[in-house]
Amino acid sequence: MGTMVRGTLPLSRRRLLGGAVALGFGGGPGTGPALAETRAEMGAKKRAEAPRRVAVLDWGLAASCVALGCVPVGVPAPSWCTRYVGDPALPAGVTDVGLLFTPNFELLQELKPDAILITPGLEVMRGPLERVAPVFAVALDRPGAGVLERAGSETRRLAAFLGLEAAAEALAARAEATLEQAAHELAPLTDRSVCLVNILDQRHVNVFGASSLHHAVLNRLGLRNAWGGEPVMGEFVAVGLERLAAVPDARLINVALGGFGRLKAMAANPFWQALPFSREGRTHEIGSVLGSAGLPAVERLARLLSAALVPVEASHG
Amino acid sequence: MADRVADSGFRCGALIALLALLAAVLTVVAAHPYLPGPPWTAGTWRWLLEGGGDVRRLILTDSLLPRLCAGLLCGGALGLAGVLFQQALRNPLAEPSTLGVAGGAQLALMATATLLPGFGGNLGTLGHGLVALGGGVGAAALVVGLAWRAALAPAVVILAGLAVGLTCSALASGLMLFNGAGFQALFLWASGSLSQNGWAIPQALAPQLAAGAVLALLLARPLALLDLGTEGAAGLGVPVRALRLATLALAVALSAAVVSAAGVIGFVGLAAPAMVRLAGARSLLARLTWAPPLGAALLWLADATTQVASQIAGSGARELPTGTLTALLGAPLLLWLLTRSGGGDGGPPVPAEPPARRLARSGPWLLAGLLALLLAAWLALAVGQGVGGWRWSGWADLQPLLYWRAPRMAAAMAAGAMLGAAGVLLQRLTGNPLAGPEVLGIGTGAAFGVILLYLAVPAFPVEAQVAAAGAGALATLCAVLLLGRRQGHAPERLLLTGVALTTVFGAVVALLLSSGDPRAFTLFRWLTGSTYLATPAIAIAAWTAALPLLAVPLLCARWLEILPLGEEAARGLGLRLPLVRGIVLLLVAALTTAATLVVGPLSFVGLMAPHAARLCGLQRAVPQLAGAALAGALVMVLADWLGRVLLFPAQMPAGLLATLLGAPYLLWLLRR
Repeated sequence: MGTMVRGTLPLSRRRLLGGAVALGFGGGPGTGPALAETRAEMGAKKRAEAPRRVAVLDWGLAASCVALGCVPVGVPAPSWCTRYVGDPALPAGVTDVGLLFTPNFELLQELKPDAILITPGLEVMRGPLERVAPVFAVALDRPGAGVLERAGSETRRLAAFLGLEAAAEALAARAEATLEQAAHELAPLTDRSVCLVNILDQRHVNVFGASSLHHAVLNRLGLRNAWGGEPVMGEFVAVGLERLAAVPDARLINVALGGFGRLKAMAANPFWQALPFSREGRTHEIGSVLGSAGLPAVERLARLLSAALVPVEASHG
Repeated sequence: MADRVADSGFRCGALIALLALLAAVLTVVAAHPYLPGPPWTAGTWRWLLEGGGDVRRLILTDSLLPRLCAGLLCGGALGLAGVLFQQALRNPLAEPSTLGVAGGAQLALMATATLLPGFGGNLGTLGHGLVALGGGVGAAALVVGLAWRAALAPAVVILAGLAVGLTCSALASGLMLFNGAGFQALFLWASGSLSQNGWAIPQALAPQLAAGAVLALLLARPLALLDLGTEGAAGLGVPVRALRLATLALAVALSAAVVSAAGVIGFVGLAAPAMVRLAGARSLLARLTWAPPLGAALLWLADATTQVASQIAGSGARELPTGTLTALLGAPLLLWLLTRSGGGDGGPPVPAEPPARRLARSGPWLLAGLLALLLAAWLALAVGQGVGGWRWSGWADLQPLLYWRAPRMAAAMAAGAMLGAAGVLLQRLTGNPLAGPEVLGIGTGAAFGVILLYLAVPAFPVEAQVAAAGAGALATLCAVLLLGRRQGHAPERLLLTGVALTTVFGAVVALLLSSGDPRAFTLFRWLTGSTYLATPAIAIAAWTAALPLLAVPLLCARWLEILPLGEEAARGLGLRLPLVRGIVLLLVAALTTAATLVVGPLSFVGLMAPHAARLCGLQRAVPQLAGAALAGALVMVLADWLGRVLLFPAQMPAGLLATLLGAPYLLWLLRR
């Protein structure tokens, strides 16, 4: 089993590799020169050396890598990644390795990465990926209890794998500072709850629920999420506009996942205009913040929230 | 006779009243939180009529009430359209999506959203509706144009409709895969939401439905004569082509109006006419009378249920799209009616087969097919794209790539062959050219198994996925066999059962896809027929299953020749029908299950390959089986290769590409 040769890494990886071997991958027909070649190359590397050329198969994870100072060699659909992540932006020149959830194995093999980073959602393709390079899973895409703590711990785990522990500490400190400052700035605005939505069309919105990273950040900033429910699946629920009447007193903030302008488009919708938060001018729009982007997303959301809401406080005097 | 008519009228009326009563109770429950007092007090009504800017009143008058009206209107329009489609095309499986209306509308919306980014929220509901309307009508017009030369013969219209509809949905799915995360709103639309915020939609629908009803009544008398068959009706002086055109135009207009207003609300158009027929309404006039109110009641009940359910579930759960609920409610209802009502006909007779070319000598055709298959296989292995663009790999260069290319090519080939053979068996068994292995519900059963796995376990290997799919397929197969046993596996019932099961599972799938959960996209890839994760083990398993399963049908050649001749002929020739049907069905199920495990549930190869073989002149059972297997394998191998290289580095699922290849080919064959 070729994969065992690379068992030079932390315990968690060895365990994961063991799992892949137990599933019968790695052997079988086709264990050809490709694998031998990769193996030889890997052997030639110094064992302790941290991976430098990483392919990252998730957008949030890619953003975390960039924030840590490690530019991926390959990311699926980089233009969409930039659109959803916002900041930190993916530098130009990152190879497009296919669609999200359908990375191109042949192309990955050609890129010869030192390691491939995945989220647990991609475990289903761990077998084939292990043929290309060692695979490391980071659980940044799991909303639910403790999502904020997980953003910190998983970013640190990722940094340890990349050998960039110092960058992780700096990132964590920066996020902490941003949270502190935003919490301070937003303190006068804790009178009203905040409803974070993503406007889908003229009849539906996604509402960020209690399992989302966004909810956790709101709490951390001393703000209350107006939408108390915990989504059955994922981080938000899709609801009809009429359900927003349940949060009449909230400030409504549209998180522009993938593009601005939807809030403005609602100006032509009489029903939307008649809803209390809209009638009383308590609607705002902020840039895209991806819930799976770990610490960079935490910092970005805190910054954007404070930038959007602080002028409100100023105008109220 | 008069008694029977009155009796059927009573049963239909009772069914509608029951559904409406349930719906009314649920509506009151749903509206309750927004009312100041009980709905039967004068104070409540005064508040409702006069009250000021209260948010609760706003919701009642501008959201819940228009929603109720929109639901009734959509349900009525779908029921009416369903009867018209089924009568004009003389096929009990015809419904609004048969002519590609939904597929066309979806493609138009996807294309607009891609060309005009930010469209989802920026273009109003009305703009949304117009785009959908244009797409739906465009697709239907294309179908009618293609079938014009064949005098709009039902079989040709249906095949053309399927091909156009499938092509549209495949293109739309392709766009969706590319921009997945941005298309949640469109998934939402595709799963049928009646959520309203104003009266614009009901106000637009009401006159459309009224005009449609009047026109339908005007058409009713000549349309009823179509029961006599094309020649019979023409003999009585009915201008059959013009009549079909008018009926189809009306039905398309009605379904396009619904699609543009509320998205894809499946099943009502199929279930309402089927239910009134099963309740005893046989004559066209009776069906025209009862199906629209039944459709309205069904949709109302579904919509009220989803509202109450979301209220109970609280703010964490999303509201089920109404289209999902119609399927979840309507399908069991249809199944129940199917098992209850005794023998008798399941609906108007299915159309004769489309005109085929005269019998051809099978040898040269099959040899040519085999050669084409080998050529395609070599192409799939040797040609691909890499960092440096296109390249052709010789034997040595190929070695590192074989692991990626060979298993998926082999798996696709096996699956295509199995699906093609399964399609021949099923179409011969049922005598219905609409029957593809997908229609049996086995594919969606498999998909359901995988969805449960996705919901239960956050991470799993591909083998677990195969096991879950197998379990789902097996469970569905058992359900189909058990439900069909009482009628001796009568073809009509079988198909309706399969459609009902497909609809239930399909609804759950659509629900998951519209949730916005990123995992849904992994699922979507598999659902559109992907060979992406085929490992050598899977390819070997696929061939191990395919070889014996493809050989066994050759032993049933005599049955397969006799079955399409009809029940009487089959009995006369000494077939023990229930047994024969059971065995053939089991074979179909085994073939479909094995193929689904490999490529996912949504490849329409099983529907198209048998037609391709027959239109080439391979009419007898054994040559058709061999031809369809070859055609299926060829299409899947080519599709897999194209999916891999065409949009490199992005990869399109083979099932999707197979549809894009197969459907236009089918259209081309029809034109000749």
